[in-house]
Amino acid sequence: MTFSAHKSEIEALLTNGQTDAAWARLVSILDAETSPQANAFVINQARQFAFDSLGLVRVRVALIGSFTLDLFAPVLQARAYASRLAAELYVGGFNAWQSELLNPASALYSFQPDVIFLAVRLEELAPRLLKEFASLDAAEINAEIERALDSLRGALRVLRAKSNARVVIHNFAAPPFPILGILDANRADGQQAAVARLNAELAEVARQVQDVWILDAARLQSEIGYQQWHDARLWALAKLPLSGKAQQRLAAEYVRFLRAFYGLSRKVLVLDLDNVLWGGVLGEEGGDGIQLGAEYPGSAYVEFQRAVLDLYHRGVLLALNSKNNAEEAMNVIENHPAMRLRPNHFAATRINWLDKAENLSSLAAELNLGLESFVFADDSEIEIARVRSALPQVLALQVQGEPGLRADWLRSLDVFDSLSFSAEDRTRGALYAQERERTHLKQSIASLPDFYRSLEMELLLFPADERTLERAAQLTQRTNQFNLTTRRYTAAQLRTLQGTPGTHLILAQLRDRFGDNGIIGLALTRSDAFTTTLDTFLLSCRVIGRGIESALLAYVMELARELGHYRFGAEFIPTAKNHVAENFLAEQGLAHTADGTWQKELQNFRAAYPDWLAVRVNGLERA
Amino acid sequence: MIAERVRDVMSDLFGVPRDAIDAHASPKTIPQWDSLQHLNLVLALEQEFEIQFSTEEISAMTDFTQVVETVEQRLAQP
Repeated sequence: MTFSAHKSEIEALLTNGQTDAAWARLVSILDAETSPQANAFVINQARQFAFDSLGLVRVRVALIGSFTLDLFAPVLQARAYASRLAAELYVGGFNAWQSELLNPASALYSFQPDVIFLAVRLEELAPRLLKEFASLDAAEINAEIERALDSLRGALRVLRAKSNARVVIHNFAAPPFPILGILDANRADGQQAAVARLNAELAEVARQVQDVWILDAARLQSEIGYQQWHDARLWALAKLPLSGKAQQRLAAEYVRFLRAFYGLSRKVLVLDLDNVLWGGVLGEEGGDGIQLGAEYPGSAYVEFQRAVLDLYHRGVLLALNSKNNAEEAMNVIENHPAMRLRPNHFAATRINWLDKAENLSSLAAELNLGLESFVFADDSEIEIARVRSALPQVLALQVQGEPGLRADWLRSLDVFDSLSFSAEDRTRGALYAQERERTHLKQSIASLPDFYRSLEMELLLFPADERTLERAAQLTQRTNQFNLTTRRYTAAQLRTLQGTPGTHLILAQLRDRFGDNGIIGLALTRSDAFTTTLDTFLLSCRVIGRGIESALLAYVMELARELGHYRFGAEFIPTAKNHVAENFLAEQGLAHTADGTWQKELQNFRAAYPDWLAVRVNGLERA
Repeated sequence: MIAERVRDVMSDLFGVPRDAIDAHASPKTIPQWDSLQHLNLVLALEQEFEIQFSTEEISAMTDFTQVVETVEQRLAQP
């Protein structure tokens, strides 16, 4: 069967002006089938779409490495489309990665990539470690490792001086058949030990050079197995060592990085209860009858909950969406001795008899997150189908099959990636639970200022330091809604910026009577002799609409005035998600200018803070 | 039937109408069928028919008829 049936459907939708539906129809082909002809068909058909009006993220991606990548490029391109990324690709020549990185006039640099994937194998980089290992003594092994690292370091150094592109570099798989055989794993000077050392050093290089990330090619290969990863025929005919399956797996991993770079990772896991968090139907079997505990299959559900809890500590928000009697279900969650998940782990719950798609929409509103941040897991095929058709932005996944396999299934989901991991991640869910308390209070107090006063909010403003840079970077990467410019930064980039004269990186932390919200806002400014310009200004969606954004901007403008910069400039770069911030600059008294930016004269400016906010700058109180 | 399935795969992969792929279709008559796409064709057929070609077979399949014959031979092997 060809895809021509899809073609006429897509064309019909396009003729009707249903562009989004047509695009969804096209990329859904890749859900059902990953094959060269499916990729080719999707790429060919994609040409008739306007990516910008679809809201796809455009990204310039360079593929360079030590083997032929031309065949891999369409695999990546199709896979990227399915994740709402329109990738323009540059494909480097066979084993030309070094010359392309070292030559400042190379085609790679003129392409001006946003992201560079560097796929180098040990076979080409340090062949002696693989093919002459038994003839090397300890010093020669070390020399081989150092030589490999030096060539990577040197190339990365030139690259960093020449380009701001993010770099993702493959690490190295150990040989499948070590020459020392059963002895190899026993020896400190074994082949596997040598490759492990090289990988550890490479990770250190990546931590030291700004915006370089390791792609764990070694783990990917072990995931599907060397025999399935390597294709000797493609290597012989085209200098491409990867099987079709390996290319698909590798493309999926590349797209994980792209999603994380461009804020497209999912943030919320919404769970059903019956036959998901425990076995059986609570309404029928009662709290004592459900399967949950030490004995199989109850033990499998405990394992699944532990995997969910791990995601919670990774920073993924949890929520419930279940058709059940709320009181009975909450009683189990609170009191069942084998439950690993407890009420405080859930940022929001919908345990009722309403339509699950409606529940998801109201969860999105309550958590202040877009539906495209949501994953919904349910055992019912009907509920999944309903959510898929009503809310295509939600990733709806059916939980099914052998209960003992589900914890691994959950851990294998590749949609929650983030580029950082900080103390805030481990407690993010609890922050939302506090927010629920606040909303509860809001409903019982009549006027909004009264409500704000009752929160007893304290806003701390301070420059970022080493301890907080990671969180600052994370805010730039994750904040999509109240974000004036949506510029993404890594901790390393922010560190460099902070060291640049005239640059200020101010963070805002909020405490109130329900707890510490952590660092929730960020302003990055750059100044020259007379002007201060707002590069980035964002606020976590949890705390929008409490006057915090005005207070932060007021402080930043006052800081500029104190430095003698009487002209203040800002810009608003609209995206599909930041509507909530579009009137902010006007509301703060900035004037729209002919060049599209916003300006304010600060000569007579004095910051005024709302009376419900106790603002402390570097620990000192401000009126 | 094998020939029709091969034709479907080629049509999607090369982005050409099915009727442009006759019995003598080859890299000479279909410009998209270059050496790189030939390997994609191999991967596509291997997936479609759940077979695996040898390196020699890959190099020997130089037109539509030969492709179909090679697929048929592979399918006939136990």
